[in-house]
Amino acid sequence: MNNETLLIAPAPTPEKELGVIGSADTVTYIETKPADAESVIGGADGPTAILTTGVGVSENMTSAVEILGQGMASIFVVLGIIAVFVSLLKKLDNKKK
Amino acid sequence: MDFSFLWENLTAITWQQLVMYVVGAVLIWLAIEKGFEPALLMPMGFGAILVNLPLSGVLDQVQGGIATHGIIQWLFEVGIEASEAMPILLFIGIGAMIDFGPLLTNPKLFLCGAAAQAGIFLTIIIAAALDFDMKDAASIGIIGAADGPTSILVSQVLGSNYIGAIAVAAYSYMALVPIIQPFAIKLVTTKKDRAMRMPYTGGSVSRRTRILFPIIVTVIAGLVAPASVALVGFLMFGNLIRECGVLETMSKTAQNELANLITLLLGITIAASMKAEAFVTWQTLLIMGLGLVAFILDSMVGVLFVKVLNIFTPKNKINPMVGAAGISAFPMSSRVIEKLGQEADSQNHLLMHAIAANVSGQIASVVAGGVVLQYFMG
Repeated sequence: MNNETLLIAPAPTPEKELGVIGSADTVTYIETKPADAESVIGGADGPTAILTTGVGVSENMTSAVEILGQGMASIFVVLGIIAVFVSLLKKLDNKKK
Repeated sequence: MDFSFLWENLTAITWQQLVMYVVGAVLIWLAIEKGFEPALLMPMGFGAILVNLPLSGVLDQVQGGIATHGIIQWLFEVGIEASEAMPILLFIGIGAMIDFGPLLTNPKLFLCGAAAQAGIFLTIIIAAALDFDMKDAASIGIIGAADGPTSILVSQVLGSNYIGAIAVAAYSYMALVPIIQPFAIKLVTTKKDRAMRMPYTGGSVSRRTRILFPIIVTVIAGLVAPASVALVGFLMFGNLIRECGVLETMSKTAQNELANLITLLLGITIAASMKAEAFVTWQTLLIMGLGLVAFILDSMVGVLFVKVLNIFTPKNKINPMVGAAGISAFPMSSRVIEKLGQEADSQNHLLMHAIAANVSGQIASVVAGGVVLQYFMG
């Protein structure tokens, strides 16, 4: 579900090669699509496989938490200000009566 | 003479299309037999069958070098994809139907509407953890707005791949509020909580306040979350038509003919996104599950928020269940609260308070939709 491309190490060749992470010299362009991430397992390199599959999710989680914070703050601000305005209008109405 | 053309299409039916015929039949059954959101689920169910017939003429096709344009595909492209016109126009009708009077007499209940949107954002986190793309996760979370047009609009604007499943989940769960909410509310309340009485003082709201209210809401929402203006603006435009007192015929038209016509077209048009190859996936099941989670979280957070609020306002306590009415599903949620209140204490009448929180939820849900869009628009 994640289609981000992740550049891990220097001097990439133009071609993308997947599942070949075995040494430091190897080409290291990795696409984090699930199928690709699975093929990284074939690289016999645990940390890289974890990094490759994990980065998209953790980035998403950070964004999701950010949306939670911004979203709830915005909704409370909008409805809070409206509530204050309505209370003021109510007081004005009561004074007129 | 070769008569094979008579059964050619029959053999072209895939198992996924057969599944969609069953889905369509279930939606029609729920609409007709169970009365679940019939205005939406019936057209959606019929549409699900219509678009999944092999080489269906309601979708664009090229056969023998001849291109034909399908009516449902055209309606989808023009009414939803290109402009989101259908869900937005529907808000004029919804706005014209809502009486904000009970909320205007007790502005504190605005906060219930705000709190009960938390399920949207918590579900986005869960969907993100399940490795959905962020835009898809946000579209799925919006099911928790308990507001069909907002769900359709947000998922369409964000280009979600799951718009059909999201629409089905949003409308199905809105219809299932009388089953979902009592369960969620009972998880976080005691019988004593549910029996808490709230005096209703009522009081009239001046015409000036009723007229100024939709204008104020539009301006404030527009300034804080500009992306919500289309949604909030059209909702409030409908309400202004209702409250201005000089457009009675138009108000009735918006509430009846306009709302009915758009609902009818929206239901069958959304079926364009229910093609078998896109709908019959395990993600659809996951989305249905996440939608349910969103509704449950909305209700639970709403209740818990009021419990916390009561600690700070001990002289003016709110029945915690009223917090759960802060979702947008109107008037189903209000009725659930009234019923649960009476189950706990036969003399406990919470309907007007619940309605106030419920209409607050209608504003909050469209603001939430706008806020989510705003996040991705940067």
